[in-house]
Amino acid sequence: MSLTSTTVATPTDAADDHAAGPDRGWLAIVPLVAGALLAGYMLHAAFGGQRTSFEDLGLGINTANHLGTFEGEPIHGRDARKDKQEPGDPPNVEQVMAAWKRRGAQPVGLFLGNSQIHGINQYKEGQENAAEMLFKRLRPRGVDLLTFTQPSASLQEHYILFEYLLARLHPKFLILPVVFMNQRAFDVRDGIAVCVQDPETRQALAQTEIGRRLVARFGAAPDESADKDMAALEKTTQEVTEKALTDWLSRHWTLWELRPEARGQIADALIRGRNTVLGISGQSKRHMIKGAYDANMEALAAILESARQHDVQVLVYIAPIRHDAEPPYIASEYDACRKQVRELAEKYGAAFADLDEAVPSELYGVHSSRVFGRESQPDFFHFQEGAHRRLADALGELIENRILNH
Amino acid sequence: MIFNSVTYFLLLAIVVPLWWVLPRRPRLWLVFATSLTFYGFWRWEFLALLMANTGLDYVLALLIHNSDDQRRRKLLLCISLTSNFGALMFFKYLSFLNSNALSLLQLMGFDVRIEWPTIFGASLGDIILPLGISFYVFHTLSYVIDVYRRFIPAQRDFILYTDYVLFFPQLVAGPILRAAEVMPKISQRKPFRLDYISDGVQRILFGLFLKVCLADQIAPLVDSGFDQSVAALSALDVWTLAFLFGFQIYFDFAGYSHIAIGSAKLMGIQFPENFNYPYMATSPRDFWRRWHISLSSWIRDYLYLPLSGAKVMMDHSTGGLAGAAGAEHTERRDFALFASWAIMGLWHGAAWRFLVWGLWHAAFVFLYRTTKPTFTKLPAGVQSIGGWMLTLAIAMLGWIPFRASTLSIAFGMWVKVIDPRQYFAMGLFENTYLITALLMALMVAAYFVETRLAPRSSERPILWLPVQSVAYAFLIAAVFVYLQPIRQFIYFQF
Repeated sequence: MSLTSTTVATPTDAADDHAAGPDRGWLAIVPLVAGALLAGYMLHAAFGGQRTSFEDLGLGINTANHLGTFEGEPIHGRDARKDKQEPGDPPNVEQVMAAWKRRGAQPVGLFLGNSQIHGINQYKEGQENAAEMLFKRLRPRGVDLLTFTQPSASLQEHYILFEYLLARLHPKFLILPVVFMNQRAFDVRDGIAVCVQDPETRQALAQTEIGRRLVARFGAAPDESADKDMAALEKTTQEVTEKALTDWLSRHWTLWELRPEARGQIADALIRGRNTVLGISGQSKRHMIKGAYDANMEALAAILESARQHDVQVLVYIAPIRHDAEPPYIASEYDACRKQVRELAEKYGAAFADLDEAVPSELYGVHSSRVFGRESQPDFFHFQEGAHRRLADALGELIENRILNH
Repeated sequence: MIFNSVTYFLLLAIVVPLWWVLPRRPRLWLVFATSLTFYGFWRWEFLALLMANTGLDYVLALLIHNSDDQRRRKLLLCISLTSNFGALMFFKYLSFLNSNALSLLQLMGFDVRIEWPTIFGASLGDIILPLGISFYVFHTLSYVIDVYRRFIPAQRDFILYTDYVLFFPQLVAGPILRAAEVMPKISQRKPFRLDYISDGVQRILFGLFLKVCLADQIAPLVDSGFDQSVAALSALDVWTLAFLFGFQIYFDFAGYSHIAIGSAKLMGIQFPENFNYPYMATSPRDFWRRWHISLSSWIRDYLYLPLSGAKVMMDHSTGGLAGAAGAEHTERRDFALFASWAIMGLWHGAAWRFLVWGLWHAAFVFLYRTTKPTFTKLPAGVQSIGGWMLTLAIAMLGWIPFRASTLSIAFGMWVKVIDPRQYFAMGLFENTYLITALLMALMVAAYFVETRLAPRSSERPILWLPVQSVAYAFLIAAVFVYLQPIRQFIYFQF
């Protein structure tokens, strides 16, 4: 094209139609109608069945999700999510706190952890997890141990939740497991991110560099009552109509209501497909992710510093892991992490325990996650009730000897 | 109103049948009312601004058209330019200019603070950018300038003129259309064909697939990567993030354009294409013939050509800025090239990093222009494969300042890329690399299917029918499952 002449004829309607080809008549919409019918059939066939618990899928085939209770009241919750609780949902911070107040609001010990605490392998009705056992051991000592665990929780999530709970519970001590495999985690789930919108928590987080980064990432999240599926419409006029329409569709169309289930199942299928194609198993080595690791270590230091400032004693421990099979991590990276955690604990005056070998291998899970296929594989992380007992005993002794009697 | 919502489907379900049955005048009113509703569903408060801006340019264009006095015509054009750019300056750049001016004053030792006045309970410092202002300002400007250049007569029918400016499929994020190519299509309805419905639905489905199944799904990976500190990223990570964001913004914006084009097609109106496999471009110049074609054409016709001193003749929005840039260069044309791209960069947002993005592209178009005689001596295969790989790398690395939260982070990431020691580590989740590689492979495969296989479909329409049906089934099922307005389209912020 020359600089002095950019003349191109304006497209006319006739030119448009010529480009579209001859009029196909009814044939034009045949594939569309056939496709719509086929899509409806596919969706019904694939997702019209029973609902799946995706959290349980992540835990593994023989491991159950069990959050502790005491006298029928929750002592063990998940996060600070405040949206409508459905039957079977894990208790949130408010529910655990309300139960604590009903019990007399004794001084609090805080236990932040992950699925190792709420997962019981080969679970049988009436079995307890380490948090419940520890609660019963410490209650006669005048301490209510309140536990909050999330699957694959990162130390950044623990930091946010710790600051949120610090202002509400004023705990005497904190039990904090460091799980090497979760040092890869970088994202913060909605139920924890919502705490950043609490002014006191935000102010506390703003005292550290990692806290300021977390505030920058999650401080502008939609307000907690907002529907996350409609975040793009928040505070627009359209929000009202969209909510009304989608609510109506959910009430009158089963398939529409099953869309989150379908999304979960598709994600699950993609992960399994990836693992099959690339030969990934529960024992495949996973490298440390530097950015996530550094951020989590910064978060650990921030927790320890904040605890020291608020006179909260801390027990940091390296979480137990299975040792009778090749582990899914790089040994040198794991050893470096344990060393760094020990040094940080010493630096901030926290109690430290390396419970890496606290649980015998035979008490770990016999099956791993469904995402690695159905054949039996060792579960490196979740264990049976007997192991929960051992962990609770070990932690109980440490708390009594190094914190309560100190 | 956002396209990836049930509300928008309901709107189309009401408006499209009415469009095909109503006579001309009520049909024009239908488009007018629908466009205002579409915009008002975001924020009705800004409708007044939208109408004031549109109305003023309607009057000015008429006055320009009716006048033979060149000085008066120029004055009227200046009023239009001032009002349009004034609105853009106020809503988009005031805060940016203010913060830079304050920083400069502080650097010179003055401690100046500004207490913003409050209007209607809101501080002027917290001005919200009216949705689509950058797009509708360009619409009205091109109309007034075309009238001034006597390329088109001023439109006396206010409703038809307003329908052109506010036509809802293109109102908030383009494609940026010219009055000459759209007004006649809105004014005169074509005879109904089922093809329009089929083609329109196909484009909408494909656009939604790009947006809700691809762009919105890879967005968390991009966010997570760019949230990490630069120190923790390796060169491989920077490349991966650059590619991944390149895919995200392409799927997001091309998705929007497909839905806009499809929505207009439902009414028998053909919009020009806005994208044409930009990541398959074989030169920086070719890239700009394929990426956001309507914007680059606008910049060419209303900025680059006047700045370079070229004689401007009537054109429409299917060209490309770089086409004009390919001519023999002079100092004035080089200046026009860099100035145009700098302005195009800043058009995307009030931040220096957008300016750097614009200049990055200007530099590579300039470099291509100066090295082209040597480049064309290479074998054809080397030219196309080598050109493609180089252009892809340039385009993708160019996205870094566009996405990074600050300019210093962007430069930090670029430095990583040129440091050979940074190529021996991986700091992102394994899935991030995997998905990026998969998307690249799919992009190349889709290009070959569309350019090599699809054209043969007309040879065996009966065989092609089942293939089309299965493709539709897949698109419909995927869009049904993933349709959620969880994220705005990226270009809404511009």
